[in-house]
Amino acid sequence: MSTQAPAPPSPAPGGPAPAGDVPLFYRRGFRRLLQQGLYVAATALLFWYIYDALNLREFGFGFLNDPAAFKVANQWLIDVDGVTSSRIEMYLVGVWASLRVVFVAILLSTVVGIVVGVSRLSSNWLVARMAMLYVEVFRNTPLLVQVVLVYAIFLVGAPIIQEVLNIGDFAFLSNRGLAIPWPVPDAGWWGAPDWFVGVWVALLIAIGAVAMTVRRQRQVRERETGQPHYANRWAFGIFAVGALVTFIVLGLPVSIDRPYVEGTRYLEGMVIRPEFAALTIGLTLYTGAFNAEIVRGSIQALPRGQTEAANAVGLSAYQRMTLVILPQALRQMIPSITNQYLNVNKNSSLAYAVLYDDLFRVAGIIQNKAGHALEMFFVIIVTYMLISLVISALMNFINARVTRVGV
Amino acid sequence: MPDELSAADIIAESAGPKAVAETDRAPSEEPEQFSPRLANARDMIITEHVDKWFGDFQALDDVSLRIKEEEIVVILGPSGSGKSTYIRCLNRLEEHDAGRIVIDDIELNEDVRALQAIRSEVGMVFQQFNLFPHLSVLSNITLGPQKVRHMPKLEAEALAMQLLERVGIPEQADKFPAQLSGGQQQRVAIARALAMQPKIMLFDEPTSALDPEMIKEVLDVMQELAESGMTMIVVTHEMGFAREVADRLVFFDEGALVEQGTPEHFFTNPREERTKLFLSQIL
Repeated sequence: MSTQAPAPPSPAPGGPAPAGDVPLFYRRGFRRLLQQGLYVAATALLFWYIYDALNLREFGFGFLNDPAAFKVANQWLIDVDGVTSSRIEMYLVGVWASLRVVFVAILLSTVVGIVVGVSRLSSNWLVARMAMLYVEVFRNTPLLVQVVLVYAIFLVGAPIIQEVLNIGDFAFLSNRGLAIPWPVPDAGWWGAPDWFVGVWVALLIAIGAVAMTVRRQRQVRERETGQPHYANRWAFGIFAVGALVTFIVLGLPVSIDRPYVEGTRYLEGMVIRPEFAALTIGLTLYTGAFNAEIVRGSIQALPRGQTEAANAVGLSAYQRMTLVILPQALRQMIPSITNQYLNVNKNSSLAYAVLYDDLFRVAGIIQNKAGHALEMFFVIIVTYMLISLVISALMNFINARVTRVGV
Repeated sequence: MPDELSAADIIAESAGPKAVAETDRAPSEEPEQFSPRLANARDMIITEHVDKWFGDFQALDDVSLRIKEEEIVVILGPSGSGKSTYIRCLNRLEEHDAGRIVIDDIELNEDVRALQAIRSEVGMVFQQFNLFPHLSVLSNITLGPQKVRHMPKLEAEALAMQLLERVGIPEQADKFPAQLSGGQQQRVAIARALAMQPKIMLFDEPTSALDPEMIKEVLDVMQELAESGMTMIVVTHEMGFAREVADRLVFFDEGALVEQGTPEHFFTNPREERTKLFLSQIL
């Protein structure tokens, strides 16, 4: 290279050399253009190679509309027969199954995280040590092992269906799952049609809105007058009375369906299957351990002076926690907790290990039957990304709310 | 670790009260010298034979001190001498291990009601300000009155503005602590403590974390407060403040109260060698 390009002229003592004197190859603008040009060319080459090698001329999603011809378990609230249903419908059943696990595991792992995290800071020796033991066990072992272990415990430890454990004729436990009572539409007093349930739910939402408005007003008044206005009690009371009155007026449109065992099957009620339970419990325990560390770390990261100042002002322990410590700790907590929630979403694909028909497993079945692996993986990746982005968006919304200042 | 600590605690607890019982000495070897203006004032703070241990380190060693209503006491001493620990025991940020502490006729003991009562009578200003960073200046001040005293919001805000006027920064009410200078933050902290309408104010090295040019604005506020008749205990190294404002100076060393007296006594004719050495080093 040095033989081709002449040596750059040494800069004039008074300032940079005029542009005309610098050979093209050494000019900064030319270098930038050259680098970007090479990058564009390499990228184009890569994509052309992929297109050519994978024969993407046949890339398309038409196969998803064909009949599925397979069945999945755990199709709660969605009714597909697996014969005439299309593959995309079956896939959506899988997505719905994943969402259920993710939602429940996120909720439970948050509760576990807060309880265990605060317990680790307890001055009670036993409580603190138990919390530490829990965190160290579940943080330092693979999630896959935990999920499979819970599943194995369920299958081996729970009785077989012939010897089902009858919990007061109310719930039944066997290695086919836990059957519990569940609300279903009911004719009630004067033969209410099924859609009365919808009416009741709509009314409940309206009553909830009223209760929240009253709560808000009473909070404002409490702040303005300094006198206690029991906002939460009022809101709860309004909702409870409203729910009861509308329930009676609509003629009891909902009844509780109690499960029973017939032969080797559960009938009616709601069955929490071992696969769902194992995956949810595994995710909860594992993520709960990480959440606990985040909660503990965020509280410990606050300067001691904050606690002392709150004490010196005369706040009670509860006021200190809710008005001074948590508002500041939550700011630190939420970004890390969000990461854990995204991990719950991604780790839910371990459903594969316990044969729970989540989106990844259903997608695998579709791909087995129809081929189109590339398209299927494209769909899977986009689905997980969408769920993650929704979780992130919700958490950003919550973050903006909890960090908003107001006394 | 906890085992070692608890062993030391046991020794401390068994040694502490016994030592007091055996010696049974007077509150101070030297008679307390009250300023003539306080001749008829009642006792606001009584501490008798107070001991405090951190593990096997004795932070306070048989400290006895009476402080009158409206008295201004400045506590001097080298770092680690127990002067901060002493005032932190007065509103129970630290728990004393032996001896008696009585604040405004309320004994500081296991009774949580006594603790609540004392905390709302004693205001405290910290070296590091310790303002609540997530609250505005105004909310920092109104938090205590609203939540502890159940004062209506408007009334609390009026009080807060009045106090901000008093410390000279009403225009900063809607800012956040991080937007203020150190001196301004410390003045907000003073206003926050005053908002609880305390009978006693404790100052724990209030100017030690400040840039030199901001020290005066805080000391001016403290001087005005002293002149208004507040009972004040101030831990500080500001000798000018001690000389001009204090009724009495108290010198701590190695956890013990070594010497006390009027500013005149201290700056002209200190009795103890340790006091002389300390004063020669900082004057």
